[in-house]
Amino acid sequence: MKNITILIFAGLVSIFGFELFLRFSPFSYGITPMTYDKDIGMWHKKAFSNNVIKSCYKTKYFFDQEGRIRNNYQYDNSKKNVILMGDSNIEALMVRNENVIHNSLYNEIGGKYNVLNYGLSGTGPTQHLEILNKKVNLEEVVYLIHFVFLENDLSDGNPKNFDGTNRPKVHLKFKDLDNYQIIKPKKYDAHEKLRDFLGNFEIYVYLKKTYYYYDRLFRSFNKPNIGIKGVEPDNTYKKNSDDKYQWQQLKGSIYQINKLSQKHKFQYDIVFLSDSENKGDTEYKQKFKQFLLDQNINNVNILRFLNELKTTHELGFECDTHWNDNTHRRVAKYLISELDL
Amino acid sequence: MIFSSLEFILIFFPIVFLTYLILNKLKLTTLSKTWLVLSSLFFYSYWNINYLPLILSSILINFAISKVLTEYENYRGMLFSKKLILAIGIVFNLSLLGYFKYMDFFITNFNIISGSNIELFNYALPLAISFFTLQQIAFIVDSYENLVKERNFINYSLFVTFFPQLIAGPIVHHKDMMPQFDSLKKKVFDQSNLKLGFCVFSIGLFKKVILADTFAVWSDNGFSASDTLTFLQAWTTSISYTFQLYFDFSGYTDMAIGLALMLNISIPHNFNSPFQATSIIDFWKRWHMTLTNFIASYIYTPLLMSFKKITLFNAMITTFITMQIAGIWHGAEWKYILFGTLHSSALVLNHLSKSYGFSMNKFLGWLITFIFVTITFTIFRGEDLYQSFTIISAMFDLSKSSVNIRGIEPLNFVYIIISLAFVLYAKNTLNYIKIKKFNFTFALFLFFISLLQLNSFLISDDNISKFIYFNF
Repeated sequence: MKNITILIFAGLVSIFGFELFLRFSPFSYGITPMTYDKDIGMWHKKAFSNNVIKSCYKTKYFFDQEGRIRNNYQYDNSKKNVILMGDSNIEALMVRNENVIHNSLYNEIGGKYNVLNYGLSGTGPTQHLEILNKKVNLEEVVYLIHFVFLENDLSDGNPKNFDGTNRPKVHLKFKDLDNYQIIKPKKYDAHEKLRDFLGNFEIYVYLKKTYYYYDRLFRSFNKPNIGIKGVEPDNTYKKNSDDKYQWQQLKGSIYQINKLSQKHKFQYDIVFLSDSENKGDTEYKQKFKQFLLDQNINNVNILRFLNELKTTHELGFECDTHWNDNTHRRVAKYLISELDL
Repeated sequence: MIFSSLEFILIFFPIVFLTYLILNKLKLTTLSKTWLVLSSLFFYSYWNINYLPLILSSILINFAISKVLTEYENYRGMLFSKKLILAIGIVFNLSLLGYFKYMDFFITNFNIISGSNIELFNYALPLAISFFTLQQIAFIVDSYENLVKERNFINYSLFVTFFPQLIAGPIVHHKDMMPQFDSLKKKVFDQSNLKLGFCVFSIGLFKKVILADTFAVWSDNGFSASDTLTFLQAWTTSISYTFQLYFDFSGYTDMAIGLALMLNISIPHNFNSPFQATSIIDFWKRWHMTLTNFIASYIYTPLLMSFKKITLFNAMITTFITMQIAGIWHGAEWKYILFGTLHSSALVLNHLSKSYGFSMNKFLGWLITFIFVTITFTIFRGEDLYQSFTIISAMFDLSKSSVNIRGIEPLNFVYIIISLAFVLYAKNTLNYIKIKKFNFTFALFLFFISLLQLNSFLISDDNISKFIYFNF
């Protein structure tokens, strides 16, 4: 009994010691940037800063008082706001704050407007609509630049992937473009409270990574093509029977955002790309383009620009496909030439 | 498979240990020793099975030579003299070392000098060759001197291959090891040794994966940016490497001692708080002690004795040559030769100043020794002499705005201060083993936290770093 007590005691103390070590060593994992949000399900921790670390980068990210990606300039109350919405590519925790697209864009427009970044990883247009409704002061908005990555966003709209982020998320269910039902995120129950509490510790991120590592390892015994390190499974979006439903969600959200823009009199532009276009399949691009044309929504297909950029610069990181610092700066510059800012 | 890997800690060692324990319990002592030999050969082959024949033939040939030497009087009418057989044995061992370790170095330099273009061999250095060669040279020299009493082949094989010390020392001596393999007392399970061994192993594991590998991050960053280092960055890089090397090597040694202790075998210590040294002579009495002892017994003393008269001058010449050999033992590169030259010169200077009655304030002596060691370790670490000298010159470049704390990682600085306090004031492993007392709960804590970090290396795609002395 005494030995077991010693073992447990030493185990607990070592967990505490390891938490300290992670915090005060170059091996930090950072702590989770998300917290529970009653409207969106998950949202960035407010007035928070931490590191995001992978083998090819260690970047300090910052959130402001509202949980947005922090500005690198002084917010000016006398100026209107340009809003950026999108997923983790726009959230860009791994990019140095001064280079993240909203800060780069602010520099490009010479501070004409405040540029605010509402990017949130693991989200698509349905969540973006709710973020607009719940988090943004629409009266102050002059311009909304909405980044849509078609295959990704269609995949996020698939009910089978609703738990993909492992955090609660709001979802919408469109019957048609005008009518939809809000599927609220699950309640802030004991499980979520515990997750928020544990999310303050590096060891939580460490344990999650450990779980995913061994889970993949054991699965790789059966499916050798999964790979443990480096080789990722094929995540390419595949056309399937849920296609129609997902298009409905995507179109419905964009239609509603467009309605908001008309009501609050701000310019709404979509910047999009379709992965399948890169592989010669233009069906999604054309379908989406036609919809935007029907709705009279200004849009930019960014694929060609990115492909050109790719010939001279890496778009992402060595260990991560998210846009890197240079891509953020270059995309900001490109937007100036394409949009009426 | 290295000591600080999950497969060694969780699979290899428990299997070896339990089987050894069971075989001893069943009084199958020859089998238990054979089991250790086979396990050690498996451990060795795990890296590269291609070199298994090399170590096996080295063992067989050296054992045969030693047998002839010890039983020389029985071989009447022998064609060769005893001295010639010894010479053949030494030449065999040195040739092996020379062929694998130094041949390419000589060819490269010959090509430069003569303008020729002889192709390099490009052999990968067989693991542990420097260590097992030295140990076997000592064995045949002692066989020649009739100092070898133990001549059991399994004991000999185990002395050479015993996995806790096989790869990177400590360099063990046959007279310390082989009797232990035969001693019945050593076959009895000893719980206190098991506990103490576990504690020492845990300290070593902690030194390696928590301290050495952390300093490695800063030292590697500094060395890779050597051209742009400021005054303070150069110092923190250099000191970080000094601590990395110390915690890495002494961590390895602690693990080796701990593993051996768990198997009820004592192996010699290699470190005795070297950074407390107040002179360079003192430093070499505390750093890599088994190499120093080997060199003193098998190179320094015979060389000194070869002079007709022992004078201070002769002793200094011998010291210089011996330390040069120690330098080049580390590897066939100019940086190791320079490392040896600097330490030889410092030792000679230190001996001369002592013999002329010069004394120094202890703190000043410590400071000079620490700075000297740090600088020479920078040469030791550099990828080439240019990189080392770039860093060393930055360490003494007070110009521009280089004395600036910007660019210094605060954590690095804190780790240096804490480590300095630790190596200066904390008890070392040797002390704990002497008093046979260590807080087991604390050892468990060190062990668990190190395991967590080992797992962290695994899941973060970071390769578990090898021990620095595996390269030698």
